[in-house]
Amino acid sequence: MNIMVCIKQVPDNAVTPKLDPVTHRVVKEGVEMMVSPFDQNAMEAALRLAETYGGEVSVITMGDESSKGALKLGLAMGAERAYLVCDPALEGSDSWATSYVLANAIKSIGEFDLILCGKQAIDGDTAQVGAGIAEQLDISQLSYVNEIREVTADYITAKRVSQAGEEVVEAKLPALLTCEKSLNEPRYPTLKRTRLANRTEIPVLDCAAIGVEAGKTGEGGSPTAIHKLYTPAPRQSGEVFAGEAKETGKIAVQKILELKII
Amino acid sequence: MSNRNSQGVWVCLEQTDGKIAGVSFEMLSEARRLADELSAEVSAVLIGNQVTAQAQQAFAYGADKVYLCDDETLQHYRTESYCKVLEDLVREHSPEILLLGATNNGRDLAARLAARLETGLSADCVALALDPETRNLIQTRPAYGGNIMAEILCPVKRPQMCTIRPNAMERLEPDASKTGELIAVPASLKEEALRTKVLEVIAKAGGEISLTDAQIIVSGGRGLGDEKGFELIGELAAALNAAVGASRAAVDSGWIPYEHQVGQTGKTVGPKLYIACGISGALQHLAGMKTSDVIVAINKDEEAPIFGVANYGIVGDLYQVLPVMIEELKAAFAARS
Repeated sequence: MNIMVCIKQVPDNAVTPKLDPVTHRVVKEGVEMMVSPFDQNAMEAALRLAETYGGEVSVITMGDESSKGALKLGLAMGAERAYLVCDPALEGSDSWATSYVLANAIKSIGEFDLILCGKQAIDGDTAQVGAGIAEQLDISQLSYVNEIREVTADYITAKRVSQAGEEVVEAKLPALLTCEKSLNEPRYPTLKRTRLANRTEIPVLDCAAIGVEAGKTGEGGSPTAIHKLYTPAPRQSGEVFAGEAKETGKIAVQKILELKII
Repeated sequence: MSNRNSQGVWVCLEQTDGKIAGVSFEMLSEARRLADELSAEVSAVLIGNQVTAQAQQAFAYGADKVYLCDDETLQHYRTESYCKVLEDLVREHSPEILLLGATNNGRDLAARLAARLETGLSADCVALALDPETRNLIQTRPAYGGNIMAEILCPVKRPQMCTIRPNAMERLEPDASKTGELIAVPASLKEEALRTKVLEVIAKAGGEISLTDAQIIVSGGRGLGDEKGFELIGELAAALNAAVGASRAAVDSGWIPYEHQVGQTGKTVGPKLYIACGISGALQHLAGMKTSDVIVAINKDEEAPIFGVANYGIVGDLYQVLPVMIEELKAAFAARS
């Protein structure tokens, strides 16, 4: 079984993102980066599937040269191959354009039984690229997966989270899954694999190599445009009460009842 | 799709087992406001099995038309079957704006449909406005866990699609006397053509309130000390008819399952009231709850960052404060009845 995992390098979420006062874009220079947490769950799920059913795990990302750092984590965790899709023409792609590019890149690389993504990347928070790739490849999507039950030659059975509860769904392969955090606990790379990852050549695919149409990528090829980015006004802190619990507990309830929502 | 002649504001209603989700009414209310400004109609799309009776609710919230697709194959949400119904309707009628709920299924469906229609989609919007000059929809959404707000436009392609965060938009008073045009449409795909099958549905445990729909949430964190602390959290939640949330620290300690986690790597919530108990207020937790209308924090440490976002802060031991609150609430409700 061949599995492709799509990952994204994002700014570390322990740090508050800042906007550049001139360009009004999020500052990425000098910011610690990480692989988006849910993508690490996707990576782990792929490795476990390959361990159970055999096959090979590949990992792909779209980004600049620095995104090789994310791919190295994928390799160090256990992926056999890694691919970087990188081209100046991709700058400013929205979720539609990104899906279009990644789907074409995956098509140009080969055939995969499963494509795994995180449920969303924690920078854009859109949760749209997985579904977009599945649509472009005309395969089934199972989003918000928190358990993979079984994979046969033709089908995958997995449990997904919906707003009303959970459901067990069977999908014909090939299929694309987006992964929840509760799916698994991502492994730490071993020293040996980390060394290997550092030596592994990562092919860089540009627009020509994956055959995407000019005009369908980057800012110009994106259906959406950013009108404005801003930092929300910080919440003001309100009244603070200290003292005997008998008193403060009473005050808390008074304040709650004054809201008139119950 | 690129169609400058597109018109109308559409809402794809969300229902589970015939119960329409609250966000649907919030979307209809917002759609009505936008449509009035655009001098356009509001249409709702209702997809499911044996849901005909629910169409009236959409009229009550201001829909002029309801497109109803009622079919056995649509009993459970499946991306492919729901997407095809909506795709066919959108291609036929070319709405200018299409709203879906920012729930798991709504976001799943919206993303697939937008990809198919080659149009723009903004996820998890918290505010919508019309540009007075271009009539384009300005879609405000949080990114980076709410640390950045983005205003998104979809200047050329149509429909302009967004998913709408539950509890973010005001719901109008329904008017049960209102009626409209009910248009039945057939299901597009036969069961044999579908590549997915729902084998089992596991509903939430009886009485459990969903975090994302909840009006009130009581959350516990590391300050609880152990998993038994969630019994106390549960008692306060029961007294308030609230959902139970948790910080990542509490989930990582194994005190409560992940589905209760509020924060950047858990759920993002925006209830009317959020009560944080023994939660220090790490950046990644605040990202998931700081749009709550009112925040009450109870923490021993007066320096805890949670007090920086709380409307009301109680400095004290939650094991002393919470029992007082529970008693006071019970007494207050007893006095009412």
